[in-house]
Amino acid sequence: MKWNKLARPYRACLGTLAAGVALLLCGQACLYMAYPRQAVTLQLKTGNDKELEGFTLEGSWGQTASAAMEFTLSDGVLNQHPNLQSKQEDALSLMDQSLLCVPDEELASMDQQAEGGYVSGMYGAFFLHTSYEGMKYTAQARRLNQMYTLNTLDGSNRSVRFGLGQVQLPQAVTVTAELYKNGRARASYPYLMNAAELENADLGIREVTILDAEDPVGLYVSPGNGENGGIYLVREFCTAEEVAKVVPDVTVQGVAVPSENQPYGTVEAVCPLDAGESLIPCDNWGDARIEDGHWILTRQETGKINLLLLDKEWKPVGKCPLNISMNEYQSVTVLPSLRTDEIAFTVVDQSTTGQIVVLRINQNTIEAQSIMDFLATSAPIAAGYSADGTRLMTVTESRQSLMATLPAEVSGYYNGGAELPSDLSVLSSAVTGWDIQVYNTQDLQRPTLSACLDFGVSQRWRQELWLSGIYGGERRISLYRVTAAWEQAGEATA
Amino acid sequence: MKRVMKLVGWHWHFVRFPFALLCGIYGVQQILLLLLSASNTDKIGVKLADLFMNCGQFPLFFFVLYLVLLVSASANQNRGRSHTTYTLYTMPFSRMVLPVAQMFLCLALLVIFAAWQVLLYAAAFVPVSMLSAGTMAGVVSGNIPTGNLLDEINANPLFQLLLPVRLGSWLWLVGFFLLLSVQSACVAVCHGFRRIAAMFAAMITAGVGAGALYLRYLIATDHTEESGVFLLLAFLLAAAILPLILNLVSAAWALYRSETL
Repeated sequence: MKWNKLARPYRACLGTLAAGVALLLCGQACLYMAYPRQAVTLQLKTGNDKELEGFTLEGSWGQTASAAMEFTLSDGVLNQHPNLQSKQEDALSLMDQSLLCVPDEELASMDQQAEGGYVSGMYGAFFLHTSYEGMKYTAQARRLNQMYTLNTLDGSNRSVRFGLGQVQLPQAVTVTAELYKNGRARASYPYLMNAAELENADLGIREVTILDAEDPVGLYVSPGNGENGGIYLVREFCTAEEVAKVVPDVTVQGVAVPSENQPYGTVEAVCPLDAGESLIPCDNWGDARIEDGHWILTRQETGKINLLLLDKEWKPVGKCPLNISMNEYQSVTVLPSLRTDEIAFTVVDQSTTGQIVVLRINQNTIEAQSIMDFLATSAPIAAGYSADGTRLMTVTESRQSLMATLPAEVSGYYNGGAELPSDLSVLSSAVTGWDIQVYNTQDLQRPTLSACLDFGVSQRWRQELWLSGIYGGERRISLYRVTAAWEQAGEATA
Repeated sequence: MKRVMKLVGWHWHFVRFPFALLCGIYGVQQILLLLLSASNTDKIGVKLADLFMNCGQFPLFFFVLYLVLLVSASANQNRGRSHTTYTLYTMPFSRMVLPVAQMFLCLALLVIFAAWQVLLYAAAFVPVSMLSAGTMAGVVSGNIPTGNLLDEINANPLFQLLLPVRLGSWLWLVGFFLLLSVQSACVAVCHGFRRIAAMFAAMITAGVGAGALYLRYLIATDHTEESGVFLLLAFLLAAAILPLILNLVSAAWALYRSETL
């Protein structure tokens, strides 16, 4: 066969290959150029943009679990950059257990009054099931040791246990011991009960809250049982082997089981609270940070609220009384602060209004304080002062609704097969941006500037939200969030 | 090099029709399945990327990559029409030219096929979204948002693999294509029963290699640090490379005995 020079086969091959490579490069270029770099826009509604000077608002618009667009509104100038590597949280995953155990020296007397029963059963699936059998004894006890055990769930099998004092109950409660034959398939334990079963708070049973799951783990122990509350740090966890060495065996009904009354590991009291003082529980603990330390709110018996400033190691460095009143039915939510020397939180109750409290801290004392009312339907997600402290910014979410009507026969198909008698209206709302308001600190009634950070919500996400209406699922995607000031500082040092 | 490129050109000439046929059948079934799914009222609101995954096009793509590998290797089975069949006998032509040319040919076909898939997806976007919106409008009344092609490309794992934006992902994709190309070259030079064995080994490499490529993508997107996942990745890589080593030995033996010729 004679070939025309232009039509030689390798030329056709090279041509097709070049076209293929060009197409792939076009795809790359399209991905590069169409990437929504300017997805977030700032729209000024009222006021002068000079009012935004001195504020830095940082946030991220997450597109997937790992890819996010980070944006910064600094002095009224909006900057955006993609961040494809999401940060890893190095928090420990923890499981805690608060038990009321019969003191070791009283086990013999318990044995005498205990009623026993045979227990058997199996667990596991198919041919992998394991059967167990043993004895279960129940007895009545009034004097019990409260023991708190914290286990890590990261596979290292470490734990720490400490005592929270002895509880003298007004009436006897049922304690249970379980003794199993076949090895460690199910762990045997002496007479005890779960502290959570006693719901009545007046019994002096102390509650433990995990404040910080990062190493070192911070715990708050509530007052009770004649002792004051305080913050403790877990200094040392014990491995399962170390626990087996430390914990002695006790005898229950002639069977040796590990004692539940033996503390192990190291816990340090870093911040003891005064008598009658207790911590006010807050949502979103992780953001309760200031400079390099933490802060907590405490309530005294008189109802007075105190702000306790703590350092990195949770040791108290300052205590400031706050002139706000709070009752037990109100819940406090910590907001991400816009500056490292500021604290912001909201107080809401069942009513339709709430209060936001913004504090500027200087030399461990309160330099400025603002309290503002808001409607519960538009709770702020962040707030802070300008650099000179003359203006206050609040950020709320702005929402849009998506509506559709679904015929009964289709919604029946999607809603778990339940036929609906009539067409179903679906209303789903999506966060489409943030509303920004700037106030003069002298006049918190009327904002001097009102603006909107619009995310230009991707159609795909709207669709997803809309579909969650169809499927009846409670899917909440928090794709937008404020980056707290302490996180930015952490980034800079990392 | 000039001889290699000449041979690539000749062998391209032999495989262009089977390759075009393969691309055509793949394209037709893909568009048909996507359109059928888009017109299904059970799938209202499901977007192109999810329809694509639901139709099984993701594993099918990798299976067709294996077929591309075989098509490329078939160039050497040409009943005496190949340039090489007489030049290797008569010319001072190194034997290594044949596998190297086969490798380049397969690499070229793989790249063209990947580009064809990108083209198909972009072309399917408009008709599929129109059909999908029409199906939804018949069932649901209300404010129905529409998507865009960039979102669909971003949401499709196959295009995360084929259009990587990071150097590491690029290296993995190129490595995967090279692995397939070398296997194709081995299949091309083996003969008789050993050719069937080589095809089987190449299938293992293609399947397990695709698994490793996808697992690496999952590791990169999930930022996982579990040692078990990395162990699995190492195992998959080993399982992909071991058949390649066997095939290389087999191909070297075939070249040494000139049994291809």
